[in-house]
Amino acid sequence: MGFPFDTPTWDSVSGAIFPGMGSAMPGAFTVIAIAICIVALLFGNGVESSKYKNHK
Amino acid sequence: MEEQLAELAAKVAEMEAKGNLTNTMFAETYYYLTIPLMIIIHAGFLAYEMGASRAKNALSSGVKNILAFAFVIPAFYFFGWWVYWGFPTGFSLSAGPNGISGAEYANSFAWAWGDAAASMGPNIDDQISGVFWGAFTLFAATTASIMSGAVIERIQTVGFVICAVVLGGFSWTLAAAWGWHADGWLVQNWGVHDFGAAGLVHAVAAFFALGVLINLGPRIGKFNEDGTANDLPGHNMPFTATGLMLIVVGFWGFLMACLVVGGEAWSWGANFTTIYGTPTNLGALSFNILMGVSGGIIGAWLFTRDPFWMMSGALAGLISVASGLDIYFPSLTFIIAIIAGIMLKPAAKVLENMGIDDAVGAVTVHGTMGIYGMLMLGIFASGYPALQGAEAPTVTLVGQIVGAVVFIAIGLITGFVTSLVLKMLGMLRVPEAAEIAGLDTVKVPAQAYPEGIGVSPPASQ
Repeated sequence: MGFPFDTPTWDSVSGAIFPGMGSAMPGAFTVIAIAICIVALLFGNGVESSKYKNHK
Repeated sequence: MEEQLAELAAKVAEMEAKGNLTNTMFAETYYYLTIPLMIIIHAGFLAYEMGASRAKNALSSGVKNILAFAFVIPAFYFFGWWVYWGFPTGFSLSAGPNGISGAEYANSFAWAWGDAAASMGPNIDDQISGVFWGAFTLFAATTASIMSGAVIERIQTVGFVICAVVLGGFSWTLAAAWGWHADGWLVQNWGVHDFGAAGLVHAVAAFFALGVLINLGPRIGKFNEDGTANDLPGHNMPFTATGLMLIVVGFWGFLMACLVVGGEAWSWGANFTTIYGTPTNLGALSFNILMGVSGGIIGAWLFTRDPFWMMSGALAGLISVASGLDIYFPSLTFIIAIIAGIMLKPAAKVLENMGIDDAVGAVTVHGTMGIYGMLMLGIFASGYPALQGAEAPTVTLVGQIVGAVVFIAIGLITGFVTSLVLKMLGMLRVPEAAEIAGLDTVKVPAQAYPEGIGVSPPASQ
């Protein structure tokens, strides 16, 4: 991705400045981040359930 | 002469540009600083809830609280911000009279993908979206922490986090879209005025918690077979009381963020206003926050003498006047708040007598007092214009009642349904054996007090 402008300097740069700006990548990162949150909750729930099962 | 005039005009233009830049940087800094101040609320809730838990559950309550904070932030980034801008006119998602709401408007800047992503990340032409989003995110996280205390010592961690995400990302945001946003249908049609979010943050979160509590049930040992209640005191009252004071500190940031800074393209005017565009300033907040906190503490002290209820009274006092912090006369604020402090413990007892185990009195402090505060504003501020500009709707008692009922419904319904689904999935309540053993022993790989809680003998003279 790299620097999202045609110029190699910050001169005359404006607007959004993050890598991938103007492409589909920010949206892709967002989808991946959402998926990570869901997986984290599923994983956490699995660990929590096993803790309860081990403590009867 | 012409040359001198041109030089003067250039200097004026330069000064104006510098003034505008200073104002923009002030506005950005202002909201930025509300964020760490509001994080103090979470430091307070963390201490408060761990102290209010029995020693066997202290760390588990802390883990739950920390995770609520962590998960609500991305939830508000992924969809909460969009809800606030998309839903003001109701479920139609159409644009409102100010043209700053509806699905199309929200799609243009409040999604983290597509062209809107430019407003949801570093952007050197946009010095406000990030700090606005940050302040609103902390409002969202606050709702989750309000709910968190009520359900300690028996709710599953992940089940609780899912409740927090629904509350912080959707429930309160919907209420804010309807009752806070200038295009909100409750504001436009009913003149609802809730400056400091007594209803749309506190009451929504509290009634969400009540919906969860109905499905969750009381802690083991809370109620006897004849229905009478037992006291299940937390293990560290000093920690709890200190946490409550930290929450009060943090609410200075919360209420500061309820103001709209003047002089910017997105401002309502040249000076501070409320979120409705109506006039107020930091002086009004200073008078009324202090008098509200003071009244609440004194009111609770009169009949309890208990530091837990006194500090809860501080919050209750503040919440009871939050709707009108922008306009109340401080002596009136004090009176409203002292009544809130007096009502606090009896109101909590009513809930307990209904078989609801609210471990920290959150439903009473935030819910009952939030609704009381909204109604008080309807009594004392009827006739005030609810928005800036000509032909603005006016505040009425009926409008405040309608707003309160809607906020209760949003919280209660979404909380009840979410927790019911979690209950059906077996993700709501911890098993009985785990609850009896203590949640720290069962699932936290750390000890709160590895050396116990002993009393050190005094040093010899």
